[in-house]
Amino acid sequence: MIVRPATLEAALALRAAGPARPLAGGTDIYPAQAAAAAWMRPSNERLLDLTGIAGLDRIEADAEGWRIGACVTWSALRAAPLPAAFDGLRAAAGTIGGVQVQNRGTVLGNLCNASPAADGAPPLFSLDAGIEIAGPQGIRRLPLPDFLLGNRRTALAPDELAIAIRIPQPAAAARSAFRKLGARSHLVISIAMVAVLAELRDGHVTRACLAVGACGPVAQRLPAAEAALIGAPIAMAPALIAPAHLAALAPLDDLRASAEYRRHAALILLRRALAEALA
Amino acid sequence: MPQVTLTVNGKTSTVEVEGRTLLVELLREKLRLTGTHVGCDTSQCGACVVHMNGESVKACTTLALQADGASITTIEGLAKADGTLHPMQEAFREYHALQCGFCTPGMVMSAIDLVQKHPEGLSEKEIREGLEGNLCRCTGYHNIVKAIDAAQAVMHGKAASIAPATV
Amino acid sequence: MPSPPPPPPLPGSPIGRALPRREDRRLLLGRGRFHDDLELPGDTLHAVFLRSPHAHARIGAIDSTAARALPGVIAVLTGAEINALVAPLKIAPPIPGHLPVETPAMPAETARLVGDPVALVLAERRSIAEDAAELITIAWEALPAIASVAQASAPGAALVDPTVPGNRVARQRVATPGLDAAFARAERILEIPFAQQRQTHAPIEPRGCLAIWDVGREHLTLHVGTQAPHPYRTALAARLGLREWQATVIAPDMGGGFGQKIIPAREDLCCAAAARLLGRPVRWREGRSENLAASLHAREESIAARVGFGGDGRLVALDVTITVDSGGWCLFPADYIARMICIIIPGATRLREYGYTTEIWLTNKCPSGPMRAPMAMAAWVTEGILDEVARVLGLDPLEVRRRNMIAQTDLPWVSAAGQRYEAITPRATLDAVAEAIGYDAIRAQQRAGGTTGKLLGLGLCTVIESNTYGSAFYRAAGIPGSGHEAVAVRVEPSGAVLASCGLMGSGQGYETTLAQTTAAGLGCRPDDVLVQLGHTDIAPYGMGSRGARGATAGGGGLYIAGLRLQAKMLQIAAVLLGRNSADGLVLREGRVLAATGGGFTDAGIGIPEIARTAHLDPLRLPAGMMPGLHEIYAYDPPDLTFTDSAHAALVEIDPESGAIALLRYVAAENAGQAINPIIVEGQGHGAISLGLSGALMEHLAYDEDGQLLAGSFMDYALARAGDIPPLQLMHMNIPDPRTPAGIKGMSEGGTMGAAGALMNAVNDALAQSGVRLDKPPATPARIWAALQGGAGLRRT
Repeated sequence: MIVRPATLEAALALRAAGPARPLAGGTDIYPAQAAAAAWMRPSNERLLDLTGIAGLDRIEADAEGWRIGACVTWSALRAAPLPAAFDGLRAAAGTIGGVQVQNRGTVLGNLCNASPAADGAPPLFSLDAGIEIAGPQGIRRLPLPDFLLGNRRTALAPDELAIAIRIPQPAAAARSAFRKLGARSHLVISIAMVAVLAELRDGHVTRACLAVGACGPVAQRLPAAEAALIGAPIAMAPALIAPAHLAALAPLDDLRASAEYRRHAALILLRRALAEALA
Repeated sequence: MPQVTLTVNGKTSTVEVEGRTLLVELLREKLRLTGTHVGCDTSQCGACVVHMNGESVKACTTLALQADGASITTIEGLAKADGTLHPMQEAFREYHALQCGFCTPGMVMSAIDLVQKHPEGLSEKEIREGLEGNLCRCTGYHNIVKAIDAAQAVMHGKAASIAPATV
Repeated sequence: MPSPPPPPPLPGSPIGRALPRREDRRLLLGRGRFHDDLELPGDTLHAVFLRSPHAHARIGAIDSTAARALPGVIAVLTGAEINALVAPLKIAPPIPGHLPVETPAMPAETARLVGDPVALVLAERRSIAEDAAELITIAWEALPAIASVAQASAPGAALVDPTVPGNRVARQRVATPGLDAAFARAERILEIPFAQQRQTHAPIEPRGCLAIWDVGREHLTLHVGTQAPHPYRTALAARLGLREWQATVIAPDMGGGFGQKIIPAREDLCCAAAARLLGRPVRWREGRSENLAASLHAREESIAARVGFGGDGRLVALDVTITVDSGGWCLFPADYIARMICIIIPGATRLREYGYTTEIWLTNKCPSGPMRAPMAMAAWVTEGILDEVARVLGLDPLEVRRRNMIAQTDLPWVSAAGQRYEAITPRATLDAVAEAIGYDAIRAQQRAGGTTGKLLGLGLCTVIESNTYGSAFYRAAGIPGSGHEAVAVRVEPSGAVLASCGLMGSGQGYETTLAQTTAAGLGCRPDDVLVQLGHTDIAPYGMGSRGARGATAGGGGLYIAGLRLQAKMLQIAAVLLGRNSADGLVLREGRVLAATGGGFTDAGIGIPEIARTAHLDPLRLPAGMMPGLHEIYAYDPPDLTFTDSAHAALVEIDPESGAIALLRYVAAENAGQAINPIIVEGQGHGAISLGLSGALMEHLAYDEDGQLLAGSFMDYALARAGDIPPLQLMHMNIPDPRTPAGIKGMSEGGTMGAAGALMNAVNDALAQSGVRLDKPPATPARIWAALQGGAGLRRT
């Protein structure tokens, strides 16, 4: 059962009327349904298609910063004229699922799916992104760490819709990078992925935002590492990220990779991403 | 039942679909265009790639309803009415870029979109990276990459015909 | 008896020409006809299987009341009902140490793996069948799961099959008489472990079938992708209790097989039985998850090698024990792949004293069977041993290979496993790849050490690929079966040529290559020939496509049949031309040519005139000649043909992350006479990339409870275009004097060589850090763990 309203108001009314799963590009929902159906768990949930609502496919800049609508695809993001602080997010966009999935899949949908290995999460964590949520009481905003609650869990109420990603205007000098490691680069659940955003003055780090994904139920920032980097000269900075800074990560331990390896890989990726961002 | 009106390979059709019908099901079962294949159900293999409004998409993760009003091109819509193959099809044939042929329709559709998006031309490495959404179990991709390279010259007007393969 | 080879093709023959493929146009237009594309009869029922979520569990009461009550559901069949209609598969080969075992079409008492089919729902639509399957409840009684050989062999382990004590279904020991003495005189002895992870064929087209029972004629037509339609039909009819003429098997275009689509799948049999029971067509199409979990797996083998050698690096004794985790059911003789691996392990070495032990274990996993190059592991073992010997002696691996390799003057050579090699050129192919990859320069670069912090690894692998498998092979191996192929060639009154045989292609280009060999024999153009495959009522009974036998057995047979028809046509031509005999006449490109003083001239007639006479004016034929133009011929090739190749892979490992980059890949091969060089090249690419993909990333991992961890292509990683480098292939083909037109098999050696060369390259790199990876896949995580001396990854 699929409904495709033409306005946000109609969509919210449908959400309020009963369980309805929001749908945009569908690149997570259909594969999950197909996989479940193959094991006799066909899904009969109602789907609420947001792609008929005008305006949700826009990337806009205003006084507060950037607003990425719920129906903005990864391809649209890649093509958009965004500042260098978004290079990491853009790089993540290029590693998602191959170009056909990028043409359909949306940035916000990737967050709402709340996979621990969501490629979009680390760069958006490093950009201090928030989520704009529409509900019966109007619009509210949540910082991304408060929106993503766990594996496949978000703070979205059953009668709400996530309608945009909000990103505060980054400093003009901010640079960013993204790195990911899997059995191969694309189309396989990652072993570890990291995003780095850094600002520099006179050859020294003035601000660093480091985020790691696929090493726990939700991506996370590394505040201790970020603090340790302040004031570091460019050449010295990557090596300052230490294993102890990754203590809060809780990576899986399975046959694909040990927890020890995932943690180590995150460290190496962080150092390399930082070096790339600072270069 | 909801209706979808869409233009497939230049022909406009109005089709009744169930809400959850996928584009690939509409193409294969309602329009009997069976060249678009289903290989994995999870959007990994790319055998189902078609063009929707000029962009390559996986028809197994696109809802038929979401294609309402769209213009779709499938593998069946590439050759000219007189049977002349599209340069990409001709290059695949010339370079032995297909074996069992099951992944081929999706591979050809992805390759055409890739070449069209890069008028500046693609290197061998860029062609490989551009094929990340498509799996082939037979060819090892080697001849597919060569075929796409030969086809891009023709598609960009840099060659009149597909350069002959050499063994 | 192997048939003697016919005369070689004349210069300019269609054999050896790089013709574009006949099958490509329809496939490129999207007009191929795969099983999922078949037009279904209006009353077709759709089949969905309910599968076990447990690795090992007793099937208690099955309640399908709610499912049957769903509108559109026609029937729900369980194991008890299916097994009343389908006889079990009995595997009881006359092989010492092999216990007899049975596999029902659907288990009625105990499910032995996650994905075992336990109920079949038949409904008017697939979605209804899926919904109904969800409504079936089963009172499962979970049993202890056996998820590894270690668990299977533990004292007091639960039994996967109650008739197989201790879970070991087969064991065999073979050794040369002098083996112990050879070890006693060896200067050095090493023990080296090798293992392969569980993999699967993963054709991009999943399995499926359409079963149609004609109630009036009491006849079953099964549309199903199978590599071997006639043996499939024999098994199908026997299992369903039909006379063989009550069944027709038709294979539509096949989207890859790689060994997964040979025998009747359990699901096929269930659908055929249901169609007969209900009198309505039954359609089944599996999903990818079902294919990954419950079709056929392969390659989970480990080998413990003990090797004795001299200080000069020459092998003097080798003893291997191969242990196979073969899954929950035996769909093939359990030990035949393990024995094939062991038979090939001596490779191109001069090893004289050799022994092997095979041990095959049942586990609660998907059954395993042949996959493209089932003996793939053999080449890595042989060549991995040579690398280890070189390493401990401080010798160059290429030099150690040369010291151990048979010379051209040694041929014919009988290997330590009893295989007679002829018409191979292993030294030439090895020298060619060493030069092409720049062996000496890479070794110099390694000695100089890099500044990048990366580890460079160069791996070599020589391959002796066994293929063709004539009937003499089956006799010698004690396996029931034959390796001959029957073919039919007909020339119709218009001159159109129809060629058929029991092979069925799944990408090999048979419609092109078999037209070439037929045309070469007949003296016509390949375009004049239509090759008809995949229909049991059209072709004479043939053994099908497997073991890289199609080119030699089928292609060779058609070449001979063509020659025989050409001789008949030339006799008719002689009459038409008013000549006393056919001497001096030949057929070329469909025209009769007459020898005239050192050359040939067109005699003014061609195949159409001859064919018209043969069919429509038989009174003009020479006395005693049968009217018409048709030939049914059965060709039995030599026991084995051997294709040799050498492979070289260059990798770079980032020791910090474990990431591996495959920088270059080169191979040289002697595959006999190529029928179509562009197809041979393509088969080489495909075989090599299948081997690379397996060595680099594929892994059907199960957890210790027998749950499959790779249920989709998200988790079962197949190599993509960016994972495979450009492949440099050198063809050093020399016709095999024992076969028609000198044709040999090919297309499996690349898989053997790629797996070996890649792992040898990884270990060449890791040796610089003193560690070794004894089991693929060479993923970054596993390489990194090896570098840390991690669990399961040994230092040497």
